[in-house]
Amino acid sequence: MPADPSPRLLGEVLARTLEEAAFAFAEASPDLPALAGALLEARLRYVGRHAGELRLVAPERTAAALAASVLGEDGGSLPATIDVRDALGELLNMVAGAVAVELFGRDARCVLGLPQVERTTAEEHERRLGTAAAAVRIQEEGGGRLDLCLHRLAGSAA
Amino acid sequence: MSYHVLVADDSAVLRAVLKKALAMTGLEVASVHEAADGEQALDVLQRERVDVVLTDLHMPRLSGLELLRRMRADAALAGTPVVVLSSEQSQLRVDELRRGGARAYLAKPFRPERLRQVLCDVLGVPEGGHAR
Repeated sequence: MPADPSPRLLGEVLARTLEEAAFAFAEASPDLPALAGALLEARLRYVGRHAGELRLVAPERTAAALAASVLGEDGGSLPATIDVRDALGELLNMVAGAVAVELFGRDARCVLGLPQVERTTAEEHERRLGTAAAAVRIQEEGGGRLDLCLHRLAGSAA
Repeated sequence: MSYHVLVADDSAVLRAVLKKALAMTGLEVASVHEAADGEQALDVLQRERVDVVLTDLHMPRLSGLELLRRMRADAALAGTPVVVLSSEQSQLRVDELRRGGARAYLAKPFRPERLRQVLCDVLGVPEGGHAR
């Protein structure tokens, strides 16, 4: 059954994806402090009944730890050949597929774009949070925190 | 029998995950070739023996769907089974891929057990067979 974007929807999808892809258990909480320090931001656009953009933001060390988990690397270390940005982008890719199903249902078409990953600042991230249609902040069991935000794109159908 | 696999994905992380997952399936994998996009995948297919292709859907230069079409149009490659991996889960997309000739579809993220099920089905291997 299609749903509207909500923090709960985003939190459930992100937690489920982290568990399935990175074997990381996570919980959403509105009481978590804002992200700080060097951040990585993965963005991915989608077009279904409406058009939007998903942003997955995490400290670089959290992204690196999750990448190591995705790869099943013991000790949390990442092979030198692996790009942390690539891993964060792929996580967002998986999240986006699941979000699309929740938003539009399995019988509707939703086209996903390619993830783009860049460094960002906490200030820029907080500024963009203000325009999000829905956002969730989660903490995974290793203490790493991630924000997932959904932004409607201008001109998209309601 | 051992199998030669081609993994096509623009993400080095996903290629590494797939290689690990292939090793965990218990199937005898003779070689794993890698390609970062559909064009590279076609190059590999022209040079190497490949028994099954695991391809992402969205890749630069040549997408997984276009790779599928090019393989179907080439008599030498048309019989090579293709499994498409994607985070897109809509039934419309799955149906489109099947009509395009994909032998199977695997949603990301996936477990090695699911990858094994799909490969056994596509390669005609009994699920209890060829365990290491």
